[in-house]
Amino acid sequence: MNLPGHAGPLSPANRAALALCADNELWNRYGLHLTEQAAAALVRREQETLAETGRIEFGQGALRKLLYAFCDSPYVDQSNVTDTLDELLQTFYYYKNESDGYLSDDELIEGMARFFNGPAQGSLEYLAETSLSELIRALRRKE
Amino acid sequence: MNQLYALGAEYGEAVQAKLWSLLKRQAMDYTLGDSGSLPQEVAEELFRSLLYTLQLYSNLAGEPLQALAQADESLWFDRALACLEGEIDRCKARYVQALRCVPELPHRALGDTLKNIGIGLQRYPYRHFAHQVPGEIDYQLCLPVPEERLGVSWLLEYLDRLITESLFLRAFDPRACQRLLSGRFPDYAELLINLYEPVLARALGRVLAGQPLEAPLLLRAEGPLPPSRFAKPTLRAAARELCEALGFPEERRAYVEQSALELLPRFQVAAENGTLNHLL
Repeated sequence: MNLPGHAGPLSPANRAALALCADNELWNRYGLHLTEQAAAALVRREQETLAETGRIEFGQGALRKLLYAFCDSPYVDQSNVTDTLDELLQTFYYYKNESDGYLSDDELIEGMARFFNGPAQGSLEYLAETSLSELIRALRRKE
Repeated sequence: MNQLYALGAEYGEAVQAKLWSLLKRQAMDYTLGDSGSLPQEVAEELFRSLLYTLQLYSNLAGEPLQALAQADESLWFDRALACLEGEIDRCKARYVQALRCVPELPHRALGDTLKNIGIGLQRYPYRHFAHQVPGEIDYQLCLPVPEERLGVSWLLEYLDRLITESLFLRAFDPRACQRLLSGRFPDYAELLINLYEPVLARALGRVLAGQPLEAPLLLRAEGPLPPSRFAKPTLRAAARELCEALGFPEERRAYVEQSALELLPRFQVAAENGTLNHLL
């Protein structure tokens, strides 16, 4: 969903998709590759998730940060990267609403990655059903 | 399409783009950069605050909001914030003035409201939620402030009207006012009623009944009364006569006249019954 005055071929949505692909060199190190179509589909999915969760995005979106945080996960590979990111987006924005500003984007993503790679053992369902307080505890354990 | 994205469209695409650029700045400022997204309702509140701040500056500086299309929006907003801070200072001064002329009548809602305004002005989140009225207002005025006014502009007008009502009440003996209020509303001090209106009605009644206004002692107006006396021009003239007799400040008389006119239906009913005794 584009902000007024920013529609067109270089809209934030298109720029976000291009930015994801621009980082393919980094993802390649972890055996991941995003096609332009897959990146565009993920950006569209993020916009849908924002609408579903009643949130407005003012920054760059969470996709790139999620990919950075999860690209080195032993549970993410080329066969499931887009589906995993799709699920992670929904979980991320769900938790954003739950946390009511208590957690920053970076803290939340870090907590999700820590839980996904730890107790959840790569289970997106387990992560999605985890309570916010458990995530926060996972973050605190790091400290 | 999310309805939020239509906000500001009435100012044209160029201004709307500037408004959204400012909204983004405000959103980042609000979250301290910790969160890229906000719940829609918070974003809407930020937008209302932004628009109120810009419109306030536009009105006070005489620069139409459309000029934003050609301007540096950040500079414009900084000037608007400085303008808002000036209005907050004006409001604080008016609050002190309101405290100084508070009527000597016990009334919980009035006391709480004045206390809340003081706290509200200290904590007014004008950078992000300027359109919200600082403080919780329980005390109702005789003539409410129009809801189109927002934030500190609403409060400035509220305090101005409250000062007028307070000065009017202070023109009378507080014991007489207390007797009148207790007669109409037992336990009036605990009720959410306006203190000024019953006193105004009683004083106007005496003027309309052709009886001398014995300020500061407020007496019940006596009937019978000729119905022909109750029309808008008569009430307005009676309000002027009343203000003159009380030596009420010239610049505040319009409010007394306007609130007197609001009493017209009650006076007309009273005239039909031939006495003001039961209504005032």
